[in-house]
Amino acid sequence: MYCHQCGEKLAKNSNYCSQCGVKIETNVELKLDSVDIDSYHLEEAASLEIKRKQKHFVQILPILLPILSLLLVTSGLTIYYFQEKSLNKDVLELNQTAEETALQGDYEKAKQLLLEAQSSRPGFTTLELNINVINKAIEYEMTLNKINENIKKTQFSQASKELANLRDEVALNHSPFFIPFYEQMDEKDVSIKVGTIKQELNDLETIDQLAGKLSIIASLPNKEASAVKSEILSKIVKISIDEAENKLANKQFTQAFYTIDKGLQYAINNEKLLALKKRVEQEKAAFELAEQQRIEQAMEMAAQEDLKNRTAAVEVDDFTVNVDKYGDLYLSGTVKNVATKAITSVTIHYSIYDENNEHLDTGTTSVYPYELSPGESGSFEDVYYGFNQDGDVEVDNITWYLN
Amino acid sequence: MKQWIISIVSTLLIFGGGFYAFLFLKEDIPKQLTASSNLVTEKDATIPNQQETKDFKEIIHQTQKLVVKIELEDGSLGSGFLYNDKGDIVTNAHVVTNAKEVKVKSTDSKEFTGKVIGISNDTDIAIVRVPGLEKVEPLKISRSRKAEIGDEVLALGSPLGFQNTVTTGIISGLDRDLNIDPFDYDDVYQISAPIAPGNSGGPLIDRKTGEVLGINSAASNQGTIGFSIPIVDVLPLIEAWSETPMTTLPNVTYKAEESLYEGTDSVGDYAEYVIYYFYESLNLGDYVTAYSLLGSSWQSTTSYEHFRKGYINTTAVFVEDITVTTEGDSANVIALISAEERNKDSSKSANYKVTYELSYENDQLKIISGKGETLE
Repeated sequence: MYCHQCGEKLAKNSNYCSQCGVKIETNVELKLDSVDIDSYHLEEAASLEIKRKQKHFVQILPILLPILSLLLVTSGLTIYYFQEKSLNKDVLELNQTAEETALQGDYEKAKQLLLEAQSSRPGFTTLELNINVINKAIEYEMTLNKINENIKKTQFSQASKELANLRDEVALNHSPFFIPFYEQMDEKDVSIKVGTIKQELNDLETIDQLAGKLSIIASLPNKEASAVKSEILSKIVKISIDEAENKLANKQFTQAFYTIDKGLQYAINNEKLLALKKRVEQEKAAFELAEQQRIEQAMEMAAQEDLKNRTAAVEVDDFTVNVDKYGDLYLSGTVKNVATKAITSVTIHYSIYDENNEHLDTGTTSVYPYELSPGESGSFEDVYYGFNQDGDVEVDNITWYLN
Repeated sequence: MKQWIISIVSTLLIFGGGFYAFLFLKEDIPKQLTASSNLVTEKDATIPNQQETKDFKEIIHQTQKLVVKIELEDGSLGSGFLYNDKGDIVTNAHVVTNAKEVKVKSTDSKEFTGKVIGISNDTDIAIVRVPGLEKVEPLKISRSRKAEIGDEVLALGSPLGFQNTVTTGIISGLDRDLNIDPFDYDDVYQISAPIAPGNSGGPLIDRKTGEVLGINSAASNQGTIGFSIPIVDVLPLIEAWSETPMTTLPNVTYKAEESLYEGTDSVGDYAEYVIYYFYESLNLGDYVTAYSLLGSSWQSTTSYEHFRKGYINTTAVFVEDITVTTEGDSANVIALISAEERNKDSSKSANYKVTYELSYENDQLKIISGKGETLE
């Protein structure tokens, strides 16, 4: 038996090598012994040293192998661990950048970043969620662009329909991420409403219709809206003025006022309307004055006519007096109705004077016919018997009844 | 040999363990990626639209303070409510018709003077500015929500002059259209809360939120049916007046056509009446009245003298037949008349067909033009 350390032959049952003093592991040695005895007998003395060294290496190789593997495996795993960890970090960073980019509205870039991250970490559900959301956002953005184009092409009803659909769709998501879309949709909504009203403006012809649009506009807080608002207001003013002037031409002053006031309740304190209102007031006063004057004149003339009818309706056209050979006095004449009404029962009152111009007698005689139409003449005659002298007859008075 | 076996076995074990660890890491590290998406959250992010529900008595108390009684010099009464911090009070136009200044009484019996700064002549809405109520926190207005049938409401005001009256009811109808001269009420709420004269201009309050839904404006004589103008519909008008007070107030008057004659006669009926009246006046010899029925342009071109002469030989006129056609506010009258006319010695009867055009002039139906032709 030999020492496993130095190769010195050992005494039987010795516990330590006499050469190097190493402790003999008897159990192991015993098994090896039987193999080694034969081989070592054949070894040459020169190669004994090398063989001893080789034998030494071979002896430690079984121990080395697991140790080295352990080192290899641990270092490999460590490197892998850190690599994977940093990949995680990269993915997280990518995701974060993507989210930020998305929130800034650059969905395409965000999608690219997320896809890149997903290629490294395919199983990361957050990425999938985000990609889904961003795909939706891209889709919504496209729809919005389409709506925008329709708005530009003034196809408002189409745009409005699409917007309503989009609104329904967006409403299904409960993420704050989509809030900007609400803002954009509201904006588009305003554009559509304003655009629609602008388009309809030409067809609106009454103040009421325009006022209706005005109340829609009033709920829209937008520059665009205020431009349309002033457009509507100026149209209200125009319609109000046109209508009022039309009424004015027809002397319908109350209605003119009404129309102007109606316009003024929207176009508050509008100078044109106020000026027109003043003009209507003046014209109304002038109209009423003129009418009053005409009627007063008419009444005056009617009064004059009446006076004439009552006091000067009868004109004596011709009047003759002669005394015949028997000494009787004949008087005759014609009268004319110069009144504007028919007169009846015209009676001539006359006085007879003698040759000394002394008043002798009075008499009355009726005109024939009984009724005289305006312009019609009638005649009268009378006889005074036994006058027997020259004399004169004078018409004192004529009386009549007016019909 | 034994050494080797142990060595190889342990090496294999190490590699095995390593491989297992690798697999574990490969599985586990991606799993360590936990980041909640900032884009997707389960939280409901839509703006909270929950309506605040307030205590019933609290609402009444809060609202009452801002409801005022409006008195006019002629003693007529109405209600109103404060709607902004400029001291502007919303009321009905019919409450402050043709008044420039009104007396405003608040619930705590303070009296103010208010100036009408905006009034409509076709919508029953007006604004009174009360400088004394400036900076007072106004009533909340329901700016976007329209009431629905069945909404519980309160009506506040001073019915018959009893200040601080609250009545309750529901919205019992929507989109009612009515016309109480001279105002048009379009798409107004019908309410079951009893209201009486004096309630006019008072607010209709949402019982749940305490917000103003409408302006109580009219009531029916029978039953408890009231009408309230939706505030949303008139808000643009009100706000425009608050921003730009009117310098001159419109004359709120009754519309011309209706004021002219009682009842629901049409312009055609009235035109017929005018023509009969015209001939009656002629028959009576009242030529001035007949002349006054002519329109201004006819009068201007035909003097009374001339007009009178035209009828000098006419003793009597009879309207035999009359047909009226109307077009808007004007009417065309075709009449067959027989006239007794004097000749030099005899009187004869002549038939005419006359055509008159009548229309309104300064609120009076006048005979604008006419022509006649003799019939054989």
